[in-house]
Amino acid sequence: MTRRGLELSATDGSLMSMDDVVIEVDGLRRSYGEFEAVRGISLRIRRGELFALLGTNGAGKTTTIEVLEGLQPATAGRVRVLGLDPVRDRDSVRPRTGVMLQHGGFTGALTVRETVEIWRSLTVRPQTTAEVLDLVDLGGRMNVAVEQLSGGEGRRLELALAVLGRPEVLFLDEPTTGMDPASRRRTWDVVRELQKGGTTVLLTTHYLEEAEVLADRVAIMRGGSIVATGAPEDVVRTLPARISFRLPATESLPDLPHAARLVEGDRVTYESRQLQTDLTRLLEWANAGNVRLASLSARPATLEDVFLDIAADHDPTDQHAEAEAAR
Amino acid sequence: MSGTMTTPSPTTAAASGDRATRPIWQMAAMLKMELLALRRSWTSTAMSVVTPLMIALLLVSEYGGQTVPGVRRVVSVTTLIMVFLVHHHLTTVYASRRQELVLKRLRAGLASDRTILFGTASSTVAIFLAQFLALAVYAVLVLDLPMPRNPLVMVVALLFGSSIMAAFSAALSAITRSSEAAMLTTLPTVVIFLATPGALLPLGALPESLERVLWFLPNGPFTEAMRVGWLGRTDEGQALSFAGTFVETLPSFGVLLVWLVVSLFMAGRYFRWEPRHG
Repeated sequence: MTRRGLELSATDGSLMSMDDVVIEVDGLRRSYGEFEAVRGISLRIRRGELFALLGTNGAGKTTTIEVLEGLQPATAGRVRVLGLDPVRDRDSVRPRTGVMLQHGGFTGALTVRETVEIWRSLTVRPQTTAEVLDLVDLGGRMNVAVEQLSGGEGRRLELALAVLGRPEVLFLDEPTTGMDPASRRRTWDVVRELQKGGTTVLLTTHYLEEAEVLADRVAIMRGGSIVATGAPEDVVRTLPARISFRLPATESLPDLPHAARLVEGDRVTYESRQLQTDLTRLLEWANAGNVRLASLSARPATLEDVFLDIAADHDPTDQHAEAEAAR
Repeated sequence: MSGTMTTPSPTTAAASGDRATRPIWQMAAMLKMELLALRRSWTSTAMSVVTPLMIALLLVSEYGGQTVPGVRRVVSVTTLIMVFLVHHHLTTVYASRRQELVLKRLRAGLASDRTILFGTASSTVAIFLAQFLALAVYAVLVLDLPMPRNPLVMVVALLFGSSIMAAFSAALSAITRSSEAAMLTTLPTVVIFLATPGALLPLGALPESLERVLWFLPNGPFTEAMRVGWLGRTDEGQALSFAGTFVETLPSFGVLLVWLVVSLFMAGRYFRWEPRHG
């Protein structure tokens, strides 16, 4: 739906100027023979936005990102990156994009320095070797063979190659898999710096905390389709907050006006649509009756809750994830 | 991690004029990568560089001063090296680079599919050409064989031959899961490529009618063009002028062209960029 240069996003209903749209996907489908890995997804990503694709293994995230990278053709639908077709206009798109694959892609016998220098000669206007290795904290590992790097260091080298040409659009496929927590946070800093510089980032990740911390918007995929999308806080708001505590089963429990109650043994959980009101009511009830609420916790829903909720809806007869994982 | 980065404007990031967008530069980068990898692996260096050259020198060294048998042996040994290096070894290189996802990584960059295939093959082809050159120099300087009569014909034949072997390697790598598996998958093609008279078997070792049929295999016209280019005479002994060597080798190059088209078609049709899952 277009109105005076504005478009209502097909996926989350937000208004965005078409001039700002850097990645555009309409009804994308991707099949391998009879098996359909991506089933008609649509999304728009604005310039300078960090968009996270989430989903279980085999949900279709990597297939989607590889179609956008131009590594695979779409079976149906329309895909545009920087206004261009990533397969047909490959020569124009590639110099402006950076790609971090899900797995390596290095010749193990080469050193870190040799690897970067070779990739520098395959990159338009690259940063210097020292600059880019300092950026990912591998400056001290320049003369080490790539095959001797740890898993996390290998991912950081991959990140270095992806950002070598200061891309306008950066595709990161599970960028922090295998990294220790400190490296993961440093990687987040690099991604934030790039975003501040105007880079548009599309990332897939299994770490929901990563998406919550970094992403402006997320889309959760399941079985090749997008089942939830929007800003992380909006996606999270679709689930109730949780108040939980322990109480002997013999005690009576109050009814909270905006909450549903679940009791498992002595564990009581309220799923609340208005956390502050319901929590206040609960505490007033406990104080009035001098009731001790052991292990009391109250927290809003997290992206992980939404993710697990969506995963729990997974139809056990749907073989999609297993089929794509085996592809 | 430190430092800040800014994205260049679309115009500054445009590829125009940057040498990184030129196929020849991209192939040079891939050649450097392959040569560095080869230098680090003593096994590969011994198998693909040192051993074939040593064997080749041994096989030709008994032909000192014998012009026709000597040149025929040099051409035969050259074919042997080409088949084992540019066909068998390159099949293992393509399979290994695919399994390591190096090919996929390269595809995510600026280079076209064709440039990646040629670039990956370039080091193996370069080593083969260097080995031939060493063999030819040894043959002329040490064995006292004559200088090639028409080196241009030989260069064209070498380019045709190595391109055909490389393209069949790319096609065959599709069914080769690892470098070890290449021993098995290339066995039939190695036999076919060496079955030509003048390659493994000397000329005249088989009945003439069978030789005539086997000549149409890829290395039949290759070995003939090499012999004619070097000796400046036909296999029947008729002397040729410089121009005459071109005319004499035209049918060979015609057949080589057909094989080149067939092998490139097969490479384009069957080559796989990523490992099979599951």
